[in-house]
Amino acid sequence: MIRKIYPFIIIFIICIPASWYLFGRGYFNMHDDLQVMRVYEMERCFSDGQIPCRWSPDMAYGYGQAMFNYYSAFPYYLGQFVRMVTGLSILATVKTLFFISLVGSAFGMYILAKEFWGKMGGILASALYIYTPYHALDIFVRGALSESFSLAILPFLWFYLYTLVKNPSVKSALLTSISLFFLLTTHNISSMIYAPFTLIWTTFWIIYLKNWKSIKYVFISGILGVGLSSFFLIPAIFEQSLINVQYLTSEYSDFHAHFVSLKQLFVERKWGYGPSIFGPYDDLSFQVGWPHWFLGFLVIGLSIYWWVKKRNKEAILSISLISLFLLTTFLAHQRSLFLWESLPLIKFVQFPWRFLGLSMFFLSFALGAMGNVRFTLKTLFVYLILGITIVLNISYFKPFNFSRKVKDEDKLMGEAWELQQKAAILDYLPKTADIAPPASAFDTPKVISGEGVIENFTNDSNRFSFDADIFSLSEVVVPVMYFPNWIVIVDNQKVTSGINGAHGVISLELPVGKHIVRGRFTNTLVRTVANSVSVLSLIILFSVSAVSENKKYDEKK
Amino acid sequence: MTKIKIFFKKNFLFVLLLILIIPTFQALIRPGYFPMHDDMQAMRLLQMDKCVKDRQIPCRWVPDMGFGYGYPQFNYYAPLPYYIMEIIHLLGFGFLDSVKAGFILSMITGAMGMYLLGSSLWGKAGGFISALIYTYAPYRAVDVFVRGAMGEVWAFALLPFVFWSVGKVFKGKKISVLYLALSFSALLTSHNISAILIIPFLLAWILLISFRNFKESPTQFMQRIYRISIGFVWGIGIASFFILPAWFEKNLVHVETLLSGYFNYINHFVSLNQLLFQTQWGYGTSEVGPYDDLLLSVGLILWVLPLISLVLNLYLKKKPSSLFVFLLILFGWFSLFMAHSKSSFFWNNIKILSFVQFPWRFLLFSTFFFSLAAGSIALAFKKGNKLGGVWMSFLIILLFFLYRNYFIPRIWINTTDQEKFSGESWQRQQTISIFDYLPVYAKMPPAAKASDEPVFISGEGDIKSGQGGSNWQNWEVEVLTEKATLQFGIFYFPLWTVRVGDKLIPINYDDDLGAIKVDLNRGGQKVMLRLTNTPVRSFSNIVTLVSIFFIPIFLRKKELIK
Repeated sequence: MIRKIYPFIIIFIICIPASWYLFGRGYFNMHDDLQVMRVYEMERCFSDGQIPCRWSPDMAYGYGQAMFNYYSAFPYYLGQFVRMVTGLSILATVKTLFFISLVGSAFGMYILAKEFWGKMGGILASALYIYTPYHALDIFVRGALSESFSLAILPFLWFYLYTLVKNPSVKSALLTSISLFFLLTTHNISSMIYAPFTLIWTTFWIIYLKNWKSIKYVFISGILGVGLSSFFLIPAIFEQSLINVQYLTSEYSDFHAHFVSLKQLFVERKWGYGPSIFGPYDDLSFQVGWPHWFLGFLVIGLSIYWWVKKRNKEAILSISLISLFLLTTFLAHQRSLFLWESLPLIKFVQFPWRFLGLSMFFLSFALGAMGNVRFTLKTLFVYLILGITIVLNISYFKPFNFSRKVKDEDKLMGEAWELQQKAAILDYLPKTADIAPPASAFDTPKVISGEGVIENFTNDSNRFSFDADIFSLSEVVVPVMYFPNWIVIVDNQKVTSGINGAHGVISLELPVGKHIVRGRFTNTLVRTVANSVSVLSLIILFSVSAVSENKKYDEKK
Repeated sequence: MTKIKIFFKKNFLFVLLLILIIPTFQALIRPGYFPMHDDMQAMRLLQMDKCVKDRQIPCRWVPDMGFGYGYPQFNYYAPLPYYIMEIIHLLGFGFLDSVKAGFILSMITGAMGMYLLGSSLWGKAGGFISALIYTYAPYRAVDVFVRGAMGEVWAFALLPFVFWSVGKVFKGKKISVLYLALSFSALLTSHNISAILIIPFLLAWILLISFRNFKESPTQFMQRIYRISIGFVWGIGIASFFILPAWFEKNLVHVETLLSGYFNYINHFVSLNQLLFQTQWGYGTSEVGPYDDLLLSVGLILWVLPLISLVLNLYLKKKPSSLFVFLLILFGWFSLFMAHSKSSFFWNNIKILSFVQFPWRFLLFSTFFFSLAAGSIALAFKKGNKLGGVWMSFLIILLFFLYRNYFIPRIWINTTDQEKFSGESWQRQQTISIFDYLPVYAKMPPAAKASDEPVFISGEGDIKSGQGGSNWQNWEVEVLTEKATLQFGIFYFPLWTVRVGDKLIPINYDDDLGAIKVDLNRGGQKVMLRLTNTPVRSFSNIVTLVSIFFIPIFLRKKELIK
């Protein structure tokens, strides 16, 4: 028992210096400054009973946005859970999430690499994985929470897929589905770029181990994993038609501007907190990392040695991982432009350097191989590498503009609040809106024709309501952007509502008299189906595991 | 030390349950109060306190309601939760704190009862699951944090005990006859309407569990049925101090207002979509149509889990328990049906149902039956199975994640007993739902607050001194004219009596106000008002006393038989 836990304790300790700035009070600047807002919006959903959360009322300058219908769900559900259990502040919750993603990637890489390179190799790979500069970039510079989570889930998925192929069982099928579920609900772009490599990984092992029986298991757990995540996945895909997607691949998000030069990848050590710009002079580091790539040569040597010694499995694995590392690193370099222009969908990756996440995963995984060689002073060697890695990279794991004094309220009030409201305003702009609103939404519904008084407006994550006293037939606009399916209820009767103006807000006609008007954000058919598929998949998952467990028991008897 | 260890080992799940339910009432553990639809809990408790301090036991007449004219609240309104809160109050808690403690206690009691009941059917793990689901059920959050329905939360707390003791009687435990009598009487005096509505379900349940028993040994079957009947009759006996007057004297108050207008059941049916799928939380009221700002769903987990369990149990060939699960699911769906407009046939033809007011109150029963049925899922895993433990943890997380946030009040008000019971707030407390138990002798609610002292409405005189309590008033009066009519700040209700010296004098109350008026002659005199019992009340009090008297006799006799 202790022997099993022992490596995890070591890894946890290794994680501490990297996550030093995630403990204690305070907050820091990051590129994606919406983390606080997203956790807050998720909480609003939960207190209004909007589960799954799709509509965020405070986004888009207070006009509302269907953010979680499209964007990374799992990390923020986890954040909500953390908050419900621990009662941490929102800032602390965000930092805890980053911490979980960091420790998660460490543990995931350990169990994956240990399977092939043994305990020492596991620890080595795991430490190298955490202390890659790109990890620091994701957490402390970009604030890319969901990408960081994807990096944590990927090794788990690969590990469970491998065990499933090697030794098909209901338990590993279950765990595979669950990791797949986590990955698919975490970050669409990461899921997309991981998919082909994961497919290669699985096919490789099926062929190598010639375990054809496992195909059935892989297939079923894949289907169940997709099924579980469908509450998020199906709307995110099939409701793309409801939003303006061109903004996701143009201007700053156009991939042409974000290639990385060789020098930036391998030589440059300068760290920065600026944005990614065209050309090789980004004030932002896109390095593969020292000592990672030097050590890569050692592993190439090692794989040749293994090949000679007829240890085929190790040789093939390590050399393939190195090749995959080279391929993904190449995809971040401008020479790969021809691939970017010919492959379908790849433009949605937005930033070619996003492939650095995969490249560091392959490299660290491959570097674990060094722990699998027997030689004198190996332990010393491993610890030496660990030390060098930490020393060379620790300075990157430091935030910019760190302040111990920031509190939740500072982020959720005044200018900071407005900044968060308008950030990402173009991302999921409904098609019914011609342009993004340039300023904060009006506080209360307006009578734009006719006469009347409007009072007691409330606007929540899945509803709004107000009292209207109308003197002549009026048209009223509500400061909520229309998105399917907002419905309007006047005096307990559902009425037809319209869409008004360039920002596409909800409008309705009210006859003379006093009315109670309420709005409800309801499901489209797509979402209803998606939710049902998720629930059904969960039921199937549960039933299958219960039945198989009973069978096992009966067989034992 | 080892004893404690063994206790924890044996009751690990029970202890875990008690810890895991804390979040459902965590929000209440702080000074202050929260808004709820039925904002009279603290007021009723205050009145109960006045009764108890005045030795008006059982409490029937509350002096400060009805704008100070008083009315017979607890003659009609189930009193047990208020006695329980009164005990808490007497232990030193303030009124508001006692009300919150009452809610908390009901949650804990309910969880314990469901654990007992569930364990007796599906084993400890099943009891744990049932109890946890029962406590985290969305409708319970509605009852505590939105509606503030003290009676219903106690019905939730006591229902499991009734079913549990019925099961115990069938297992041949003689003492359980007493458990049955006590739990049923407690249910009757906490929420009489639930106690009546549960009877058909209970009969069907008894038929099912006795069916096997009957095949085995008809004589034993007869004995068990006999014991159960004793239990119920005894329970009714103990509760009769309340249920008999509440029923036989219902024509003495404006009961019709409880059944018409907003409270007419026609307005409060719930759509199927709401019942099964609604997750939207709100603190609003129940309205016509499917757009209530109030959660009226039984909860997805509650109705789906029993179905999975039924299918799994059938598949894994666990016949006897499948039968129970099937029946419970049937009960649960029938209760859901009763909340849906398709059931209006029943509502139109069964008179007593109109007292339920809101068809969605049947969510109480579906919550109960579905939670109980859900525990059977534990049977799908063998004891000590690791995967079973994993799924159980998952269920705990899911319940917590989906339903925890319902157990939060809309806002928190930092207020005290003094603030609640003074100024405008006090007046509101005296007048809200004034019609509920207004005696029929008052044609309409009073326009102004009752005066503290009696007033001469004809003739002249002086009120020299006097005092009053919950159900009595004494006044020293000097009448200066030959004849005078004195009006007291009390509604007439049978049987208020007025004595001058020691002579009973006739009472007059035939105007719109319906307050007590008496004619007095010249001179100084002592006028004494007393609320005395009607024959119905005297009789029912005696029945209760006799029934309680049987408890020690029964306990003695049981020992002798042993």
